[in-house]
Amino acid sequence: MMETAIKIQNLNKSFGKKHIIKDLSMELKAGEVFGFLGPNGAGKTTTIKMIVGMLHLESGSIEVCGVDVEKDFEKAMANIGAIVENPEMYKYLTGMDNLKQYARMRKGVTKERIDEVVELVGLSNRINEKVKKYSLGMRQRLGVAQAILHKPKVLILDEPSNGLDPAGIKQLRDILKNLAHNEGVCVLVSSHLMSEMELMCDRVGIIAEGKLLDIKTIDDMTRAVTADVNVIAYHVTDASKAKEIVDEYVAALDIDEESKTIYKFNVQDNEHFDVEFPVQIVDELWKLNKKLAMADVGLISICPQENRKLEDVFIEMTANGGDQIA
Amino acid sequence: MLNLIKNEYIKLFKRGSVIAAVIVMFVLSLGIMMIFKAAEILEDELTYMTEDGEVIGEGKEFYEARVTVLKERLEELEKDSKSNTKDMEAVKRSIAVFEYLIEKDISEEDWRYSLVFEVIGNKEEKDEDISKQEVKEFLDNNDFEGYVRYKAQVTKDQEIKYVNCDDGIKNIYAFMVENEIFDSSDWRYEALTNLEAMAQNAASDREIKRVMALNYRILNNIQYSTDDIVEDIFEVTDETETPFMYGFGSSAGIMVILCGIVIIFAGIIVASEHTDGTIKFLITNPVSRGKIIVSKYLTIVSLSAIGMVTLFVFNFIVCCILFGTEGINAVHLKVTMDGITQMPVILNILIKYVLEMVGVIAYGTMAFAISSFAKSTAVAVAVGIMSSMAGSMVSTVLAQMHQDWGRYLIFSNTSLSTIMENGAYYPNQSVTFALTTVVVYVIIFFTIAYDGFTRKEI
Repeated sequence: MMETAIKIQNLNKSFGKKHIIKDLSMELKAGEVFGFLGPNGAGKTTTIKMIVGMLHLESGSIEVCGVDVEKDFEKAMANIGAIVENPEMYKYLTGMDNLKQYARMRKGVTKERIDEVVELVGLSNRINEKVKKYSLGMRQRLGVAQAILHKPKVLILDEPSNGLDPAGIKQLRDILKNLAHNEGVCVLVSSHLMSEMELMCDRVGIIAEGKLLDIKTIDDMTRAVTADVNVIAYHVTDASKAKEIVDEYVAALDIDEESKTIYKFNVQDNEHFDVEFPVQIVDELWKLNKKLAMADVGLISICPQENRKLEDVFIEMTANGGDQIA
Repeated sequence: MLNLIKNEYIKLFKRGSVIAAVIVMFVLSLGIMMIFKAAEILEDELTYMTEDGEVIGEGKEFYEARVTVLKERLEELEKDSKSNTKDMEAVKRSIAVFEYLIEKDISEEDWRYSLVFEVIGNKEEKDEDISKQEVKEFLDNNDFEGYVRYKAQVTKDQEIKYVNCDDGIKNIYAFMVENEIFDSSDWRYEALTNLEAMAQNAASDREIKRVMALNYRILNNIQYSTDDIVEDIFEVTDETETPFMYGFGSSAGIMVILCGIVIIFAGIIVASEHTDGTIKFLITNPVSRGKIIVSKYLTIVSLSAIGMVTLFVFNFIVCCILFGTEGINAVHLKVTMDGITQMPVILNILIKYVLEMVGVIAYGTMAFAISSFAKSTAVAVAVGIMSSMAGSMVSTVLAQMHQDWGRYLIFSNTSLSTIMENGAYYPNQSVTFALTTVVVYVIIFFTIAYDGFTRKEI
């Protein structure tokens, strides 16, 4: 069992009359990449800000590596590296001068460590330029360098892929995975992009309207999504002839009437259509396909469709689907 | 903590605008010293002009006119049978006085002038100690030394009675003999006669101080200027003011530029972190917010001190070059009711700088408090500068309107060096009072800044 890196208990926060975080509790383990997922305004950044001491806790508690952030802020923060919102650095200083600023505020950061971190985030060639000449992606890299400078046990990144190019995102992903899986760092990444989380995280916590809806491993989520596939896409030589055969086949099935109502046949064009079958017959689909073949309908390809993508699960779980900012 | 302060210094001085402000400070400072220099040259020229002007004035023609008028009067008196002889005697004596003045060519500034009136113009021998006959001889021979020695002889038992000035000059003529002041144009002769007259009548603190100061000047031969007499300057130096002393002494006023700069720094140091968004990275460090705000404040305070020392040294060098180093070793003396305290002039000027620095820190702390609230750097700087400018106006107006509570405003207490020189807005406003008030305000401002910064949600 991995040790607990961040422990949040019964966290509440209001801005004025607006209750932003509602009784949020969760535990993050050392050595995992934890995705904090939720639509805009769900309370991701607010929670993170409370962990790093930007906002005061209204009620509840946050422990980082066993240290309460409100009771011993400095000791708790010594274990945290973070980027919250945009990576805003001192623009009139060079990248190196910026890092030196943070190095002076933290214990045990040597010149060699700074160079090592700069190398790791791929900024070696530009580190002596002023930050105002940096692109957003470069500043994001500098932000990451700043966050991992003192080898923190907990790394918190708020929307880290903002402004990064695909290669940069891949690089960041590798850095984070390496830190978590090989060096035992607890990485907390927030995002509103499920697809990004899927590639990076071990576990995902989904938050909406200030409430933690569920915590699942990515594996569980993928399995849940693929388990009930019952839409099949067909590419055939004659779609209209195929429709007749499929209609006939489904009508003759020995299943209850309610299940039969699930059946839908969507024609796209002369050669393409997809069919939504009742779940129980998917395993016996070869019988239908055989019928089609026998009736001289040329089967070019048959492809099961994931009827619900992870994105859909996410949108469904977060209820309002992001119509209105919560 | 030192690392935090180092961080703040780097953040400030890597800014182009901050470096520009510092350069402006030195350029302005140099410019003001040049203006002092120009003013000094101009003043010299003006003095010559007035001296020229004085040369014209009265003298012989005036005396002759007086004689004519007096003779007419005498004729009238003689014609009038009612007039008594006493009046005619008096007029005759007056005529004798002016004729003597004409004969001996005695101007008003001459040491003999008033004596002529006394010896020839007075009927009775009021002053029992001097014999008119003997004095007349000194007058006839224009023998100042002889007169002084004679006076010293006849008045040797007389002593000037002082209040609060025990080691003052007891007998002015004995003093003159002792110090061989036998040139009637020596400034000390006139000063001594003034001293004698003033010492007899000194009653108020102001008059007593004036006697003390005059005594000290005469004893140490420090000539006063006419300005000193008018303004009752109770601070003197052990030699007559030199251009260096004037220039460097006035240079403490240049600290007002430093005040502006410190307000700008104080405005930048907190507000810019919010404006630039860097505050998020600043406080997600293992350093408490309290330490951050304290280190920022210490940066402002230490910058005020460093700025003061730098300006002091800079102005010292500039003054040495512009005015020469004459008077550099002079001793400054301050006259109080407790006596006369002395210190080197340079040290006195340093004290002025230090007192000015206290004012700078006071305004710096105010701007710092504003900075910790303001959403933008520009607002923080603008409000800081405006309130420091408007503040002194408010204090002036309140003082003029005799609103006594105005003395408790910070603005009435920040010009400590002026207050030290008796230039306070309000009567009886001592340096101690001002300093205490400033300290109280500084504590309040800092508490506001500290509380605001540590509570703020980002």
